[in-house]
Amino acid sequence: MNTIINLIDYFENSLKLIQLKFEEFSVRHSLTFIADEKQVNLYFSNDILFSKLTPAFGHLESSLCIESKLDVYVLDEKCVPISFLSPPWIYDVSEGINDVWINDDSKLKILHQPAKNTLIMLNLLSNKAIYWVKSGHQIPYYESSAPLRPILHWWMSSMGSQLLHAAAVGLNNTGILLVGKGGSGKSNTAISCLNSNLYYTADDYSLLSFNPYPTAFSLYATGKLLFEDVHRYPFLNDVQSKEADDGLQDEKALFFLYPKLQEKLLKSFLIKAVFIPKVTRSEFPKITPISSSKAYLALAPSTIFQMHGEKERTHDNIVKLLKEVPSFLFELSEEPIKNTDAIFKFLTGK
Amino acid sequence: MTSEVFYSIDTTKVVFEKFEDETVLINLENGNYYGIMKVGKDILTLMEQGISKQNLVSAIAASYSQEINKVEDDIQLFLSALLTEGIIQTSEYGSNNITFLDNNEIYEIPVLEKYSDMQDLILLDPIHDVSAKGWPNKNQ
Repeated sequence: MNTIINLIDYFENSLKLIQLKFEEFSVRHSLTFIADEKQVNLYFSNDILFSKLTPAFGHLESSLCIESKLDVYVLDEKCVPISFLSPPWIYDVSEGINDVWINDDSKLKILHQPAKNTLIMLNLLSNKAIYWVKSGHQIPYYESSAPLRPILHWWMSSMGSQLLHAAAVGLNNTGILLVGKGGSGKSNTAISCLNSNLYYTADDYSLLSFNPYPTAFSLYATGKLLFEDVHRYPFLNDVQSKEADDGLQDEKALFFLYPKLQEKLLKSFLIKAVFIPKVTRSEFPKITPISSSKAYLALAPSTIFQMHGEKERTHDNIVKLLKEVPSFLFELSEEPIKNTDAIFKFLTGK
Repeated sequence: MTSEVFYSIDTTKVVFEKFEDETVLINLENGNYYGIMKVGKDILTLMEQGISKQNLVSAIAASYSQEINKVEDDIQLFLSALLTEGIIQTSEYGSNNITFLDNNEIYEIPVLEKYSDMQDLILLDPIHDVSAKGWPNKNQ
């Protein structure tokens, strides 16, 4: 039987091997960013991985050094083949589906997806993580929109922050979360704010902290839109974008909002309310109070099942948030500017 | 002689929260989630310490000023649905105290509102939660 202690030894031995290889190759691809007063240092074994996984964090890049920090080593098999890492557990790559293993109780988090050729590990005792993929070329476009999510979810969770499946927009020091399933209007509403008096914090994943009041933090400066909706947002014409990979043409267009729209990015705000957007054909948007239970049903399941592990803690944090801030149904107008005006009025009272 | 059966929420696989108007639950194993209001919400509240069906029926009938035979079948159906969904479990242990709920609401048949739209995510990434005892030798 593999024990937790053995696995921590396994992690540390793997890390030593990777660090040696990084030194051997004189790896200089790195990026440091700070989110919610937590520092993350990313080290990449090659420029392909760097170019795919760092643009989303550009707005948070920092040269400051703070106490809470995580080191993440990102590599592919050109640097260290999986046979060298040799996972000490039984797995089967032929099943054709992902097969994810999580242990919420341990200080070592492992997410092994043999069918996706990824091995992700985080040691919470040393705050070091390993993100291994077979090839940087295999990283799908949607991974570039929210890179390293499992590692950041686990580590931020251990540090008291919660990754939420929610868009976030604000003004000055306050703002709202937009929650709901795909297609509910979260992304479109958030992206509309880039062309308004409002500011943009997230379109898909936001960080939540209680400091002590519920506060939203930006993590990824990316936005996604259905291809048929892109023409409605001409201000995105000059923004760096990436189309879906071959075979994923039914997916969304991805935009990197930094640096082109950096003045519209808001790193954090106090959460004034949770909005549940609903697409309607109305001329005018409508904001009406709704029970916290409905907001829970709109936010919690998709957050819990999109993240790997920490499910009970995620549930607890969402309940705490919804007991502290009011929730509203946001019936959207067909005209984006009317929706952003409605949010502006809600936040300013004007 | 058969021992008495008590019903309680299965917190090994379900997370839940009682909001003012509705109790919401998520089955962490299969991805289904649920909203339960009014009489159903009260039934879940009564189950928190573990309760027998007989005491549950008595408490709901008294709390809503109904005859026992008027609510018994509804509660049985509701319990069956909760058991089928893996929300509750049975055991030989529970409380024999009957709690009467103070409310002025009209009795309605308890309803379990079920949502299954997270199934795709579960099928995409089937997650195996592993205990601290061992990791992660896959079952053969």
